[in-house]
Amino acid sequence: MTALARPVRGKPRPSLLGSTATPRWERIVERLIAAVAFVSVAAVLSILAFVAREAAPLFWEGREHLPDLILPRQWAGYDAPAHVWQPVGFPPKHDVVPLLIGTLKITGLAMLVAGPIALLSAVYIAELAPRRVREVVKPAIELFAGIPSVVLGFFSLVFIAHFLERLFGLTYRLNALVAALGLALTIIPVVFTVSEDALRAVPKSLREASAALGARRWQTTLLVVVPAALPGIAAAFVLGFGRAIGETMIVLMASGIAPVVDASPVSSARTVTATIAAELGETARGGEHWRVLFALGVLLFLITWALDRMGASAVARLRRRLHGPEAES
Amino acid sequence: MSDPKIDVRDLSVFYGKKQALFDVGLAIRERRVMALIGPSGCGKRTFLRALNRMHDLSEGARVTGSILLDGEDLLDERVDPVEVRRRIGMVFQRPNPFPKSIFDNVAFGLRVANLVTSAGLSDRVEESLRAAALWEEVKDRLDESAMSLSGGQQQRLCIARAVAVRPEVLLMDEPASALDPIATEKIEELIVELGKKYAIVIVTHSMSEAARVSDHVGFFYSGKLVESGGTKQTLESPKEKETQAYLAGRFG
Amino acid sequence: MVPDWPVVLYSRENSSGTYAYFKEHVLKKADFVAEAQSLPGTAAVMYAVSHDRYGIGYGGVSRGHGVRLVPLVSKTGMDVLPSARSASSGEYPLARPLLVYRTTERGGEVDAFVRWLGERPARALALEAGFFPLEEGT
Repeated sequence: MTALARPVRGKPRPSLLGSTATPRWERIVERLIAAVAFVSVAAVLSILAFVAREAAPLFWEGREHLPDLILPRQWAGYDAPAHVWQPVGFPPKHDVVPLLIGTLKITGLAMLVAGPIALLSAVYIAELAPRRVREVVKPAIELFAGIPSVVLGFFSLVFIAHFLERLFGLTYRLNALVAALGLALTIIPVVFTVSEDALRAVPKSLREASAALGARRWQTTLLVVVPAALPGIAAAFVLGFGRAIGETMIVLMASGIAPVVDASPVSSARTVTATIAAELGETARGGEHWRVLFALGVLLFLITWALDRMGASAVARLRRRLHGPEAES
Repeated sequence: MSDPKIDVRDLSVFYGKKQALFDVGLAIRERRVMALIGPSGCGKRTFLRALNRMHDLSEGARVTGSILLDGEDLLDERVDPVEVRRRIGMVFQRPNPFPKSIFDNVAFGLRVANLVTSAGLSDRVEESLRAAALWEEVKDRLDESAMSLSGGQQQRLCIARAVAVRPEVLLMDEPASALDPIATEKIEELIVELGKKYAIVIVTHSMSEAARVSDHVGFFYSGKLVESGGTKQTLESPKEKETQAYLAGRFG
Repeated sequence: MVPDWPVVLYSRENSSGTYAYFKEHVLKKADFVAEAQSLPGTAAVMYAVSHDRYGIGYGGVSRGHGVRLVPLVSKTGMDVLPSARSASSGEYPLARPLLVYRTTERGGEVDAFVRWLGERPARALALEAGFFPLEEGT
């Protein structure tokens, strides 16, 4: 409005054509957000590319060693063909199977311990606990997620190991179970928080419908609320598993890191993550050992990625089954 | 006239310190449909939810007075509210089927109460779906998720679910308000049909619906029952001036 | 009485020089058993062995404060303890030099540092740290 224009009741309407499709600042902000998103995607991809580049020459340099990465072999001084991880040796032996067994053993045990505890606490806190209890317990458990894993590793190494030794008189003070229990402490808050949110997100109308049909509180929880929250609970478990499989510090400190091939929960174990952490620092750059460690990194990446995808599709399938075909998002 | 199925006396409901319902007395007859009408916030829904003790579920709600079901006070502290809800069923404003199969939805109340053997279960499910006029539409897909049904079908499923436990009274909280006109018509036909077997109490905001489905109406205003009586008589010649004003469209 | 109980081996991480040395000179290039526990340092090995009745381990003597040293049998059949003399004479069977690497480029601070390493104060410091210094002039 110019200074000469008389103030009028109701501003004169500007022409619609004068307003360009979207204001410029809005477009700039949109571009910026897109750029930031692109940067994070690019960062992930370039990490994968870098790690894969270090590992890739395995497939053309010294190709004859490739089967030794996963197949048992009769080595001099061994009674039978075996999976052996002795990367510093004469000759070096790079069979990754003991490491995968260690990872699976510790992660599986940790999930076995953490899953039920986390789920039951989530059900209790979301459904049964009085509000005052919930207000104390929920933040307390979530605070647990903030404890540095090196502290939990130290705790496992000293206290959990001591406790289990006293209880069972184990041969190996540091073993898969000790590491798994330490690991469980880091998974519980993850699984708990996500499950609890999923349970609380179940609409009140379903609880009312159940109550109105004469269901008792535990029946409503067990038959209505938990099944309805199942997609979210599944996501919580996938997230927890991903957290567990990537954890390094606790397993490095508490597992005894011995590349053992057996299924016993109380023998020592050596995980992929602990191996990379312990060995990469003193490995000749570009050597076979170096390349195998990077290949393990790629493998870990792929496992986590595959898990995430499997989890996501399981969640989607579950959601479709539970809420009908329209509940895609 | 025989004794009422439900005899409500001096019923008051408080949310915390706020009183939402004031000394309501109302008789609900066997095999009749009672419509509760009135503007939003008048207390009709609060009244309805007191009848099957739904207020027990919300923290801070308090109910006083008495609600006699066949002469027994269901507000008595020795009464198990779960038992009350098995005898007084409820259908909600928005269809709220469980994210389970159609069959499991209808069987839910029977299963939690352990009412019938698993052999009798499918007969009871069929009977209930027929009673809700849904059987022909879903008989070939009982294993499909209830969420795949249309809104109107979902609401009829909720009615089937409620009648499956063979309640003595059916409470309905604006059961057709979230539905399109055709689905609404089906639900209303169903209410009339069910009204021949059960005592039904229905909350509705639609006067024409009350006129179509009910035998009696109760008009609520500001937490009080202002007037009740036969539907035709009350809607056509209300005695109280609040009722007259509401029906004339002056508030609500 | 010796109970029938598995001996627990405490080893070092395979990234450590001690690990490689032990494997080469004691195990004669054979592998450790898979069950051998990997620990991050001599101190950790000492802690573990001291808390495990059936544990054995190995480590550098420089970190062995407060430990009773076990003599080894030398090539000549004598019991020898690790010491400056037995280590440099080669009588103690498990001794290895600590090497300092440098680039071939001459002069400057690096030269001065390497010269200093051979002098008396540096040898005193090495001794203090638990290493056995070389004889002067070597």
